Amino acid sequence: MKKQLIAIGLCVMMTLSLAACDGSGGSSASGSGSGASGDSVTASGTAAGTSDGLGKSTEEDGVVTIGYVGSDDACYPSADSNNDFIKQAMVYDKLFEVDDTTGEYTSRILKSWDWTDDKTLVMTLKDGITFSDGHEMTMDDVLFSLKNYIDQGQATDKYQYFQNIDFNKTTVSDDGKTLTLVYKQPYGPAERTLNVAIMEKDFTEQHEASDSIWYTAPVGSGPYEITDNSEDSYVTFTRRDDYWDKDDYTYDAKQITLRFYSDETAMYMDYQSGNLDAIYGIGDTTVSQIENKGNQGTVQYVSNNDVSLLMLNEDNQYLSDPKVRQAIAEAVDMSYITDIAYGSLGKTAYSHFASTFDCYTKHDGYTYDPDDAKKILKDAGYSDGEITLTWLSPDVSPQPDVGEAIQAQLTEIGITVNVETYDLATTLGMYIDGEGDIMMMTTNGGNPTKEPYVCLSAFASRAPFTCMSIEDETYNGYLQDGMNTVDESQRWEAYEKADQWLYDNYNAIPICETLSAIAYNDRITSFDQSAVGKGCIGNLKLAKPAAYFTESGT
Amino acid sequence: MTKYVVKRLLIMIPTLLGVLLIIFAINKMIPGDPAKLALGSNFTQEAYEAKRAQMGLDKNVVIQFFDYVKGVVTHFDLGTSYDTKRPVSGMILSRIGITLKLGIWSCIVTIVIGVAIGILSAVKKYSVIDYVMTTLAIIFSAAPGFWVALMSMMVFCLKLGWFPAGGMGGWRYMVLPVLCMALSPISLVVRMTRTSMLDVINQDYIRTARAKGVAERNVIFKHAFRNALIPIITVIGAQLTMVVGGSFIIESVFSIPGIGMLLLTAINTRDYPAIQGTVLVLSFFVCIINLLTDIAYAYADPRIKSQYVGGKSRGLKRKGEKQDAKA
Repeated sequence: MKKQLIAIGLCVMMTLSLAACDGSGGSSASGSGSGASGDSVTASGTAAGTSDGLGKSTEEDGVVTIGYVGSDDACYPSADSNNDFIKQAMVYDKLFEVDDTTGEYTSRILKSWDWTDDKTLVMTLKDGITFSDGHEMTMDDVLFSLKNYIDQGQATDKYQYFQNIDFNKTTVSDDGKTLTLVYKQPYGPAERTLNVAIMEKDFTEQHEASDSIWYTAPVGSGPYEITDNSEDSYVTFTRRDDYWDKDDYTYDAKQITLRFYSDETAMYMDYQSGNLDAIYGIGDTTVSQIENKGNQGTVQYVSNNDVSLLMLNEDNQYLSDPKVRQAIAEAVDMSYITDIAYGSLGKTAYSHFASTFDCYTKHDGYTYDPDDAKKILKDAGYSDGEITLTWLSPDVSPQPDVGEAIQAQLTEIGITVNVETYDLATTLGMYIDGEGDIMMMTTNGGNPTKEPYVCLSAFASRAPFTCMSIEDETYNGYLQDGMNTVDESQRWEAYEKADQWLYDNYNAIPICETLSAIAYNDRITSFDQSAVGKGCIGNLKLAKPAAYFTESGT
Repeated sequence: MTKYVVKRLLIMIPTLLGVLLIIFAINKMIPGDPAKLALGSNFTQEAYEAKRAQMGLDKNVVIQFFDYVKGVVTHFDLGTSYDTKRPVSGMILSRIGITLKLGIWSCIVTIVIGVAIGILSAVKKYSVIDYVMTTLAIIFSAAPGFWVALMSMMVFCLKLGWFPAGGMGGWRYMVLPVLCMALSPISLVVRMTRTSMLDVINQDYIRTARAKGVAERNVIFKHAFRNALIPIITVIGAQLTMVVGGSFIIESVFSIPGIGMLLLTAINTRDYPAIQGTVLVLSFFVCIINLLTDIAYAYADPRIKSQYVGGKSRGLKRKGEKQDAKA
């Protein structure tokens, strides 16, 4: 009996010691959880930076390890539209980019570009652009890269945009320096959709898209190259000391390892224990923990350039009535939905465009007034409980929570909502087949150039997700007007009208804009804004940057 | 013995075909059109039809199944992933090593620690050590795998900083996943070893061995442990299949890109070829483990081995002996 008691006592002590490990670290200081676009919140003190042989990178100047929740993808831009934006931005130079602060088009590789008429774009390449295998870039590589988006089928959204290019009339000059790109019709989003990574023609032709070399050693002209790779585990980028444009663009980190995590908990623990210098794309809970603890480095917020919308299927007999749509718009508390969906990483939206867009117009927003919503329904002749709708969403956070919240709020005005959630692939198939009455959709935040056409065309006439497509001629006319002109002022005007039309007709009800957050320790002094979106993570600044290798050996 | 192994290997073929048929049928019954999913955004009816033809989805389901089986048998072609557009066999081969490494190490840890503690508990029965070990064994067999994983991450990564919380790299990245994967099997092996050893230790022949002055170490390991092995092997075999089949929990928590993670991702993206290929390979390993378990029985118990080696002739002889006796 005595031995049994001793044994049980020992077990209890071990269990208690395990429990004592939880939450004993860190202060409980009140957090400054607000997150505006581009804000960063610096907590006092230093982030955990222990070096025990695990985080060797934390010991060496210019060597950085970054955690990311996601999976590894091939670095083959025209065949994959998933998460490879990060790798693409490191390995390749892009034809066009848009300056986040000015909204102007920029190009690192072009000497000049000019519209000779509203269908012809003439571009001239800079001299001395070299790929990592030593080959010099020519306009043949550029043209090949554009065509390859068509050749790879509908793997990316570029397939759709480049249908407007007349490749039969497009030519490259004899010296390989000038590309005359001809469109079939005036195409407004041209430069913005030409933010494509330039691949080396010969190398790409030698290796199929399914070749593992696109994971291990892709050839690009960008500032970094992949030197180590364990698929779905990590990828190491090493700075090209022979980068062709290093006089204009310098990079502090000589080596960046991107570690892939399937779970944010493990990533955050590795960050806390000093195995990671930065964690990328973190959720609201982790952000709050970092800010509340006060000694875990800096949190930086950046707009995702997208808006989450409540989409109403106009094919539904009730939702085809604007009065029902208006009642729903007034019955949903957007700030509450924003809070449960994204917490500090969301802010209530007042437009169908993110506030970072050039054509952004802030509307008054729909007033949350369930009583008025109820009255609208009654006046329109609908009895309490008559309307039953189906919420259809993937079982991916935060969609099911949002569905249940909307179900509760619409019940208050007498609308019954059945919440149906499926795995992502099944749900997308059902969207395509036109199923579902109420859905949550996020406008294309994957477009770093903030092109309004890309956002609004997702629910244009004959959009792939039939349940979300809007067939109204006026609305689709505005989209066409914006697309078929290269005059920027005319384009913005058309998109503003389209936005206003959606607002007035309650087809797509804006819920919130979303933000991304990145946390980094004090070895990193700043992160480029665009890097948090879809830019180059190499654009970070280090407290102790690594010098470039020179002939003198430094 | 060789004949038996070959026979068992041949039986694996219909087993794997059955598994494949079930998975194939389930995949076909699940809603969602892979061709539409692969096309993603705007597409025409022609593009859709072309995609269906390219993916072989326009053929009769039975033909699709036999095409798939033919590809697997003739050149280990498990199809092309709808998601990554890469050969599934390549994707599996790049990950199977990681899962096997994880599985093999966790097996070694399970056997070494589980058997050692089980023997210790049996030899020192009703001591403090015995009570502590059996109590812990019960706790850890009841604790969910993901909870143990999270706790170990908190202790060994966050507090002590000894091991990383996730990913792959050097040996340090394997320590926590291996331990977490082995913990539940260890507790079962401990309990089974203890019970089995206690049964044997109380047998007359053990008392006889001790009376004859055989060293205690030899009594335990040579006489008692060998005779206690059969139930222990049964438990270890069953646990190994769980290790292979259930690796996706540990792989998911520790962000290990093994075959379990591949299966999870494939299910989420409705990547039929990847699902079929992964399940097929996992089933193959389960069959192999079952075979190895049966072979281990033979080596542990000569009576079982004798059934495999010339069992038929021995049976006839016994029958003949009986007939002689009757006469």
